[in-house]
Amino acid sequence: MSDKQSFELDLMPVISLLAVIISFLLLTSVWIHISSLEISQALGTDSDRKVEPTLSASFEGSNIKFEVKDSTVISKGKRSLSINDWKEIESYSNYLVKKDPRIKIAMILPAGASKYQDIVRLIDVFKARGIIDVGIAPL
Amino acid sequence: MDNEIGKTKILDSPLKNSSILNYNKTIESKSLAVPLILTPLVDAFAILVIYLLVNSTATQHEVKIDDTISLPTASSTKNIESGVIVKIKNGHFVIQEKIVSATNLTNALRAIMAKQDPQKVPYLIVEADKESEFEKLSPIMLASSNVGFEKIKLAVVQGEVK
Repeated sequence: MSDKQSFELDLMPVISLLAVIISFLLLTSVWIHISSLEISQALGTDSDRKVEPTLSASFEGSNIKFEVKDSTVISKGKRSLSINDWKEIESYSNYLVKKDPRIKIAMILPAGASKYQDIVRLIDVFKARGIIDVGIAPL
Repeated sequence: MDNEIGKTKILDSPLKNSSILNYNKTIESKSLAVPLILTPLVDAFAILVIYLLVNSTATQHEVKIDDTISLPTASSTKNIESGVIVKIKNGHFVIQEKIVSATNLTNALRAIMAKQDPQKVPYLIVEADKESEFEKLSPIMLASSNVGFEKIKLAVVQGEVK
């Protein structure tokens, strides 16, 4: 005669425990991810440095004036431009990088009243397009 | 007699067999309680716990960020590493939890730099409110260049700028 033993696992304590852990983790989790944007500051002149195309962006009121130096690929008319719209800034940056991929250095010249968020946004636009060496000139 | 007739009538009711209430226990007893399948629920809970555990350990920062400062947003970011933190809090420069005037910023950073290994120049981490004007940030850039901090990390919140 077979002696069958059937038992059932009581899952209620497991569910209660998991619910407590979930509540605790939801309350203690950090949902905002803090990271950093790296900028390189010039410490002195490097006479041996190769001549590379550089981009400068100066804040002039509500506009940002872009200027490309030492680039033979970008036409003269496109080397200097003043823009006040972020979409245009992004497309102009795209154009510059596409036209002359050697552009890896950019210098930002903010005005005293320039907002920190705008400066960070401009650095972000450059970094996203492969311009890795971005510096900020002090006042 | 009346009672018996009445009893018979009730027991012989045509609804008797269809009723879930069992009068005379002749029909096999059925349980009203539907067993709840808890295994998928436990599985879902376990997945949630694992996700939250991984997420909470991955977002721990090496650097303690001041919650009162509303940082700017950027997307092309790197992980924040340990370094010398300079905060702009309520219009004051704060280095290692001490308020430093703009004129003493270079000296304060130089003193910190003197304690560091010259082969391993630390990063300078700047924490400033997104609404700050560059006029307030400029002394940090100037002092860092004077002292020799080549790399500066601007603390930002990761995300898309709207």
